[in-house]
Amino acid sequence: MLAADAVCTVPQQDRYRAYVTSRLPAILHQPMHVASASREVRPRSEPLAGLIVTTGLFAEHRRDRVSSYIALADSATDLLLRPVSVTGLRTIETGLDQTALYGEVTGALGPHVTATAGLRAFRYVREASGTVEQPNLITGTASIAPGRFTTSENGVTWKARLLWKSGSCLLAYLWFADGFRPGRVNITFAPTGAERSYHSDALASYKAGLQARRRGVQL
Amino acid sequence: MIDTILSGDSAFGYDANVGDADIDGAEVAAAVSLSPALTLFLVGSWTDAGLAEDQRSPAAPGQGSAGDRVPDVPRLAGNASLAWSGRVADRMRLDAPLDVLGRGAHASQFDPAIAGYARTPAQVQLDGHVVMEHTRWSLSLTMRKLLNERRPDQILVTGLGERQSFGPYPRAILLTLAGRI
Repeated sequence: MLAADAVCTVPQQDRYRAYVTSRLPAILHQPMHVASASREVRPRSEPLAGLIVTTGLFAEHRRDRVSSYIALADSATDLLLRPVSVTGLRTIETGLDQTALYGEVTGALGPHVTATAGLRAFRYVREASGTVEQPNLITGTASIAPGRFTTSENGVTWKARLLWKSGSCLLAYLWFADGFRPGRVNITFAPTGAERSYHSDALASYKAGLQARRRGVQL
Repeated sequence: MIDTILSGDSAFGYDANVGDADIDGAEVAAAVSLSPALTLFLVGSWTDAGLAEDQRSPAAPGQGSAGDRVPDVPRLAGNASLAWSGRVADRMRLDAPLDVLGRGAHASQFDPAIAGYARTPAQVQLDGHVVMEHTRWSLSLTMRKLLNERRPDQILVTGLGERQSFGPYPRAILLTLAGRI
């Protein structure tokens, strides 16, 4: 191994160049195994005093395992060469456990207007781990830190909708909602502490729509 | 917003919270009955997605700036579908839509100055479906990429400076037979 400030000799550079050339063309081959179970209970009430109430409980448990090969490809077809000639191999395991409790209420505000409001409380836990089975000397995967890392978060999202309907030909709506994508853990290289995991992002959306129908044309 | 950025040596991508983004968009959809059995569906959308602030991740080899377009989001997309639907025999109906799907070009990074910037050109795809439905069974034939287009779905740049295109699936034919018990 070279020190950080060392420089390869010309013969060393030639040997490295020959090695890289011998590993081309290369292909990324990632067979993946996924096991996921989702459960949801969603009771919905009959109209009661002009209101329809929906509640729900959601739970997901997911685990996956990826074997990430950099291997030689067939120069004629660009497909994986078999038997597989491995340049580098990492295994990555990730998991997601999330639960949510939600509810919404729909009621009429008048003869033509319907309103809906809802809340959803969530919690998720992400975990990830990686192992370098065979370091890739070209891309430097040997520097991937081993170990299991987790990130988790709680939160509440909401939504509201106003629907205006005039006969069977005209419908307008306003929709306000916020949502999120869960954060997760980076294990694809050797990150700093701040880069190791990232939190969820929030999405606030506002949508206005109009639907019209007339003589065989619907807009 | 969560986005994928390249590591310092450009060898790997990793995800990070990069800052706020504003996305404005509009979609127009129309369905026109040309005859009792023939319907034309048209959908067009416009999306303007951009960073609302300068990128927060200091470790990225390049920095997105407020106003830069969000990567991998085409500004224009749309599809047109001509669908025939009708009864062909007692208790049997046939649906046969022909779809043209298109999307505009998009870039892989916020800015051309950021390492790994590449543009994926616009593409058009032609799909066809035939579904025969009986009260007890259904038979469907789906044909994707009828013209066998070979344009890449996405183009990226590696740390070695080489372009890699993550190619689309080729022309595909799917036959499905389903029964009701």
